[in-house]
Amino acid sequence: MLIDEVDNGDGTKNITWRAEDIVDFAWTAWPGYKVVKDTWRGVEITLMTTEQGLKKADNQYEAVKYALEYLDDRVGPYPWPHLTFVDPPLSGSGACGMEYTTLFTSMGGGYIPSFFKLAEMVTIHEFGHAYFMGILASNEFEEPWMDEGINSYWEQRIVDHYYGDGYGLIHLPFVKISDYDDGRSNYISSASRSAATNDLPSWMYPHGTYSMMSYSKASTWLHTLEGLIGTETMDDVFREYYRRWAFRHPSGKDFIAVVNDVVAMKHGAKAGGNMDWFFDQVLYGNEICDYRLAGISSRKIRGYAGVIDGDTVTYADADRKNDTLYLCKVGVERVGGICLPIEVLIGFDDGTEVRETWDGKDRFRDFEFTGPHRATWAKVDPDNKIDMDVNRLNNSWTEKPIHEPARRMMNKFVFLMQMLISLITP
Amino acid sequence: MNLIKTLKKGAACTASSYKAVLLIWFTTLVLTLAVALPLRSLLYGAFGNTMAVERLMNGFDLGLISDLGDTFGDLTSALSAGTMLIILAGFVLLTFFAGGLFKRFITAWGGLRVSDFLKASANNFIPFLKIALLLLFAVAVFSFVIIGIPALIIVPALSEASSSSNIMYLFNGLWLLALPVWIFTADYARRWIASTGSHRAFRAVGAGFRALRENFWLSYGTVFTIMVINGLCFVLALWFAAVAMPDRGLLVFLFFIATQVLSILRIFLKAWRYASVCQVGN
Repeated sequence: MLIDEVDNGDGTKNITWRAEDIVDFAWTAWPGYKVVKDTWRGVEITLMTTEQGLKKADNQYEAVKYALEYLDDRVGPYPWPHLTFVDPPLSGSGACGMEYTTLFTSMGGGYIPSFFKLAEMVTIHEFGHAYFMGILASNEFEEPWMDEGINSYWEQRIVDHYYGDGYGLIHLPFVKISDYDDGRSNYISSASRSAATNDLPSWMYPHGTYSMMSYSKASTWLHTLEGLIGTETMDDVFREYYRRWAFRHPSGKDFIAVVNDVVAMKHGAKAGGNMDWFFDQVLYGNEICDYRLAGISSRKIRGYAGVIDGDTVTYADADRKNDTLYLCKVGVERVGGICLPIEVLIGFDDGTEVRETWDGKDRFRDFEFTGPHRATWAKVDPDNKIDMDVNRLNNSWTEKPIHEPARRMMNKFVFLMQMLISLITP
Repeated sequence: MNLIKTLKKGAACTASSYKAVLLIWFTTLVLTLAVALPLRSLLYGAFGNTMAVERLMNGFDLGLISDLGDTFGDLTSALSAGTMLIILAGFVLLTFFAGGLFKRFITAWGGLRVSDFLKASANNFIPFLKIALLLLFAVAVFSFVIIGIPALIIVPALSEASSSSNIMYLFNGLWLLALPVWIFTADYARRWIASTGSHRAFRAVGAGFRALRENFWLSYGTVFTIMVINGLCFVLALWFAAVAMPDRGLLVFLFFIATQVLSILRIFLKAWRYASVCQVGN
């Protein structure tokens, strides 16, 4: 709040402001700013933008309110009475995307088409830092996963929740990209994804892996944690984290302690007492996670039927046909070093499905079924809970390959090429 | 002759040349399939028996592309090499067939058999190629002058003055309005070559400019009208191809048929422009 304002009489002023419970401060000045004001549940929000940026002011306000609402409901209340965010002009674009407590810079959305929520994503991400490392003031240099990783995880949840599950970032008829997919692909497609553990200080990440590790890997394993313990428990973890550590300086160990306590309370011994086994692998380890569906076989076994009379058996031929049995085997392998509990869904030719679980610790596991129907398809991790799995192509197998998408893509390619050559030839 | 009559005669003339239109369509289809079929096999191989392909049912999926790993790089290079090949070969092919079409449109009704059509295509190919390249060069220079230079000057000041983007709309509009001038000139130049038998490309372009000056509004109006119709059809066709997501075998086949009908329509519209420009000269 404004404390004091003294006019020095020489065209300058001394202005004194006071803010409680903040870890950083910043100021900005530019004569071209257009200022727009709004409020949300008593929080005064100020947007400082450019003439061009005014076109997207509503979108930016919408984004920041989404973030406020989502984090307020699932983590804890936004504690300050005001919030300022800045959309710098093109000439000052180097200042885009930076966080300070109660003030952050986003990016101009004026030139970005409405199907691409890049500016909204930046706004949500930078606002999220008010929580992760503003209120929950972890050390962003020594444990960068605690602010960039946790914040990216929440950013992805918010963007995909409000702008569309599966297409939060880009929504076109032929291209749909979710914010979550964008983050996960950064991690799984990186050649250096196993170069280091995820608990390193920011300056020690090798081969330019800081960004991939701090933002993408950490958010990916947080999504995996959510898949394992459930969204509701995950939200409870963060509520408790907020309750214990708001306006204090938590470390990674403190966060893990919160996870262990909440999971033990919600799931008891089901999670193995605590979740250290999870963090030992994803945070303090550098292995990858990859489960593979090795194959399916359905072998006919003879179902003999007949009459037993003392020591003699009389088989009935007709029964052999009607009573065919199959021995179905579904093989699953753990290709990567990370062991996580997984589910396997098996489909049979009569449309029935069977769901099996595996602790995922051994290198392989075969599931066997004997019955009148053949297994025709199977999926490892059918609900995509294990986001850390670096290759989901090998998670499933079907007897009949699905060709329609490839055929459709090629039809579109042929048509596009015909249009293109017709367009460029006068 | 007024605009409506010219367009009507041009359309009738094109309709009577349906065999040539179908021949051109079939050739472009074979050309593109020569690249598309191996690419399709590559995709089948990359996905194998995985059920993850289901994620492509609704279009491009970043997660699946990331899961493809290095295979995606192989697919991309095959796709870009194939695209380049199709563009180059397609440009040459359509330029070749334009020779036959112009000959057909200046010949009296029913006067050109398929063999004569191909003979005329071969005979006119070199000067038509020169004119096509000249037109592309002229349009490129014109685009740079009308859009490139103003953009270079105005864009750096965009953040401070939003009205500058309106100025760019104006320049883009000017560019579009001037495009029929270049197209008519090239079309008339080809008509001149087809009718005189001369292979002098520059003289033909000169004849094109003279014809434009002598009968400007009819010439401009003819090309502009067809260009607008063609542009609308082009956008609608692309929109349809982008939005349509057939997911079953028969629907995918019907989608293929529909896109090929649109492709034939596109060739018909181009031929209609050629035929109408030929009518302007009569």
